[in-house]
Amino acid sequence: MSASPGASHLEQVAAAWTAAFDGVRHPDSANFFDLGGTSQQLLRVVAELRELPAGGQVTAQDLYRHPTIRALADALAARTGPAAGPDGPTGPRTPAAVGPGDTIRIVSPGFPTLAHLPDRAGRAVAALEALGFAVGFGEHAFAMSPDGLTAGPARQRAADIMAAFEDPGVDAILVSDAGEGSRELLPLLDARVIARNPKPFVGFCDTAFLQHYLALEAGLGSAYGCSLMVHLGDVGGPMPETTDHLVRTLAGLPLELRPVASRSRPLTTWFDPDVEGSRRVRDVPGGWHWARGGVASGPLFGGEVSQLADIVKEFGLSYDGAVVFVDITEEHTTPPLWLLGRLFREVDLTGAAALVIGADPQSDPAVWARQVSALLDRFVPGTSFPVLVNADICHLAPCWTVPFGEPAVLDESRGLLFPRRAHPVTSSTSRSADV
Amino acid sequence: MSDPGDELEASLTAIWRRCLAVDRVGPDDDFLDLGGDSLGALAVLAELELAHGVPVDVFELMMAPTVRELAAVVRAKSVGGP
Repeated sequence: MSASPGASHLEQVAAAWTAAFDGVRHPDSANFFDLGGTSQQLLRVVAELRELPAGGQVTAQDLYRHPTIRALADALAARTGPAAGPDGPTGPRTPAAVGPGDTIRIVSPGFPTLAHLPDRAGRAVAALEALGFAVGFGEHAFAMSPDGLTAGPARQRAADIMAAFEDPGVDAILVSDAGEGSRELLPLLDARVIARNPKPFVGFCDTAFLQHYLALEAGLGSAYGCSLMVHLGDVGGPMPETTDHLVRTLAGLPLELRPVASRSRPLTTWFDPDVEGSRRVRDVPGGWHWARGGVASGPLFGGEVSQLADIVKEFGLSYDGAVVFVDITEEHTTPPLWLLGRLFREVDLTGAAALVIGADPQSDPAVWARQVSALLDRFVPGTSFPVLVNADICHLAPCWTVPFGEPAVLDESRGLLFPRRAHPVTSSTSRSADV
Repeated sequence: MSDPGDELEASLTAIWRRCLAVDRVGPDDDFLDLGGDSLGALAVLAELELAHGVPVDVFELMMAPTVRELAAVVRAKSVGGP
């Protein structure tokens, strides 16, 4: 399977048909039954389509009623609503809007940071409450495994996530921190239950595995960029841009992201007790560089630079048609440019709509932009899509929280845009076709 | 009578074989395909500077990831000076 989050309904239905007909690509208007399609092939089409964003709810009866590639694609498009134009890229649906007065449940999918730093947790919760949210915790959110590396057994961490989706008293889910342990939760989650209880899930870094799962398996958009502990727990409170993005993204409001004037030193230096006890200083210049200009649109997908190749393998997906972001972290002993070079070689990005590359907190922004440009020319040749470098995503302070899987526009003259609109709190079913 | 370029490539090949612990390195074999990681890169670049007096950084290796291309970088730097 080569599911592409950015492929149109037509392309996705055609891919499913082609798989069912052993690689033969029939015309869009050919009738399934006239072509001699068997019931086994019909079930194969349904099974293939269910793996793709367009076909999450498809049934065999749908194919009986709409027996051509085009008719089925149109029927599915009418049902889910095109995300970016009639035949443009489609993404998962947007969760319901969440705002002041609503309850955010904190879960710990990976690192046991909550258990390590209770003072920081207290400040972060106070920051969320100051924004008007009520804050609760998953049953095992404060757990710690004997080796100190994860917030308890995978089974418990996954159970907390499922409980948060199923609990009607929870309006949104925010991770306490990321952590490698996130990936092992995938087989322990139930996409059908999540799809029936859609709500915003906010994570970053390793939780991109979970967020691809939500988008591709449960058809649910999420939010990438923020965590309780890393982003909201600084002495003196989080940076205003950080909380502004979180609030706007949760509220389903349109976003127009622009460069910030300044940043702080590398984000996770708060593990250093001296740093942890003092207010963060914004002494690093902000600003973007356009490795390539232009305008492009597509659903936003991406993740942390060292993990994206594994994510692509895990889900067997391609990023064709997607706006792909690459989040750079300072935590590796391997230089980011090495990790980015390896990513460009291991993941086929030639079909991407655009790239958004984060700032490297350790590098001079202009040098980093030149290096990214050179790596692109060398390892992603023959492409001309727009590429933004030194974006504020997301191992940075301040940083974005952006809608993951939702339609994005990267425009050299306007910035990174998410042309969403506010959704009523109860509207968690489908988006209409005039988005 | 051998070409100095060949001598340089032979030296780099030996360094790669030692640092990456692989038996065979062809002039167009890719550093990453040979199993080279960033630690291997630092080892290669340290030995390269010791042997040839030319500093090459990790980014330059990433952009010139074969013995042939790396030799060209070393030659250009030797001519141009540091």
